[in-house]
Amino acid sequence: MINSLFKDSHITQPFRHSNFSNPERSRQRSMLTNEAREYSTATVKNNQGIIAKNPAEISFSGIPVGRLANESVLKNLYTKTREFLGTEAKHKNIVKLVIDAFDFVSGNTKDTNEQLTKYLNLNEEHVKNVIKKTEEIVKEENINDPLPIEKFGKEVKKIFTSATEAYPAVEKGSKALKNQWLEDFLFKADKNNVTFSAGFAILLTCLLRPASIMTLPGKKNKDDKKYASAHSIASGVIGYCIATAVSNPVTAALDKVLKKPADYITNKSIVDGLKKGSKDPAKAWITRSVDIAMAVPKAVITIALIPPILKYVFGWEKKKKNDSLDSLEHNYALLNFKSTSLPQSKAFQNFTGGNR
Amino acid sequence: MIISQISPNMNNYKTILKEANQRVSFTAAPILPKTPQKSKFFKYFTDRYDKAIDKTAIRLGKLINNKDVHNIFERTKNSKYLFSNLMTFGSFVLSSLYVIRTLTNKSLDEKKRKTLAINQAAVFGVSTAMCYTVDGILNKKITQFANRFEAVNFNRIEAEKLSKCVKGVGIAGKIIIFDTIYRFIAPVFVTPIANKLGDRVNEKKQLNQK
Repeated sequence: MINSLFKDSHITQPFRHSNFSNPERSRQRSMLTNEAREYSTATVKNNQGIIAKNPAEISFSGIPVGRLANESVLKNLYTKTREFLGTEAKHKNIVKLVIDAFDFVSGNTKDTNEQLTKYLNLNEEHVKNVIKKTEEIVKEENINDPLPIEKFGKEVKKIFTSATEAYPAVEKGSKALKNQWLEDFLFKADKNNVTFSAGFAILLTCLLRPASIMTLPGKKNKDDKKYASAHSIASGVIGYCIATAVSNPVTAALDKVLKKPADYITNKSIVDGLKKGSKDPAKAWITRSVDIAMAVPKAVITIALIPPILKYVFGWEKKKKNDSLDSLEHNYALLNFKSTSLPQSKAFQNFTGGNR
Repeated sequence: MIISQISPNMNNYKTILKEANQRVSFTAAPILPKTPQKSKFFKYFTDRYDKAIDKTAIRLGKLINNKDVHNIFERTKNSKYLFSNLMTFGSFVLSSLYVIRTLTNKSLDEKKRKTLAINQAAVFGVSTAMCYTVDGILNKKITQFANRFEAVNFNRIEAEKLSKCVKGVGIAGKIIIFDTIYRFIAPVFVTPIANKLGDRVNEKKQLNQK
């Protein structure tokens, strides 16, 4: 008991010390966490500066899908539509019905049907709310403000479709999509696509391809199959080694340049261009070019690596033609005892025949 | 209490007092966690690595500073297929190398060389067509997945990281499609079929000549 208290003492002391030294800061921090909890439930209207400073990348008409799918107004509309269509209604039916409603309310079409009329009688307010809300967001983000009503109707449809597609996952709170491993996996794919590609290639070339080559039936003999498998493993290993050795430093350097372009690039128009959206193509061009430039050395080293892999992984060495039994069968020089082309013992060279 | 946990220091009042004082005192300097120190051996390499990155960054900066190079970036800014096209170009370079190597391989007959080279080119063509077709079919699904991922994690992941993850969905999707076809389906399934077709064409030609 006493021991455990003493053990904890060095952990609790600095924490308490900081709390007492700056009580205002600790109070603010607790307020922030409370706010974060509140915002994480549904309302994301005023979240700027708290959790997400900038809207995320994938967006329609500049509005991030994630943001719209989290909007309480959209949630209401979605729930009401589902109530109207019944709980077993397919997801596509919901999207179609609401799109029709958007078309009708924003004046794009005047076509109605019985179901749409019924739906609008019950939910017209909700549809108008979503349109209004989207307009507000567009104004907040200053996206081509104001949009013409016809175009805006189309944009709202797009937004609604993608947000509704994403909505069931939001509602269910899909665990798989919140997986930390998935997050890291996707982050790495964007960070260094060449190494990611090489890593995935290892899985294919070192496991799947050799396994299928060896197990698939075919006329090829086993040695040929082993050779093909060795080639596959060599190409995967070499690809990954070169990718990590060459591509990693280049990507790190490129990230540095793209993070602070003004420090490395003197031309202001180019710096502005990079800030406006040519960062992604720059990254794609440079990283893939490095990969392409490495193609020749990769191929050469791969071919050089095949024999050791055959020897140490498959325990098989390719025999030279001279050593093989086939060549011995057809080597008639062996029959000629006095031939100078082959090393022979003196006993055979002195052999002259039965009758002297 | 377990007997093995009892130590002779437990009843030592000096130790108890000393540690109790440390616990109660608020004036004591906070105990900061020790920062791990890098060994000199690794420091030598990490320093060199950092310097190399800095030098590469300066060179890359010079490269991007070129207007022609930047024009390429600007022109391809809105291209949906930029990443796919670059991956295809990489495979094209490799396939061309193999074709040239086959054509200059003196250990093969001239007829066999040509047939093999045509086979290799055909495999590349078929695989590329497969890549773009599968990519086109799955593109909508990938976008949907990206939307869902973004929507679910909107409040969970920091905005900057989330946008990178969302971009990563597209990149990972393309890499998985292209690599699976070029590195697995093409060599295991397409090449043997192409070789069989090539052999049949050769046999027919030989029969016709006779």
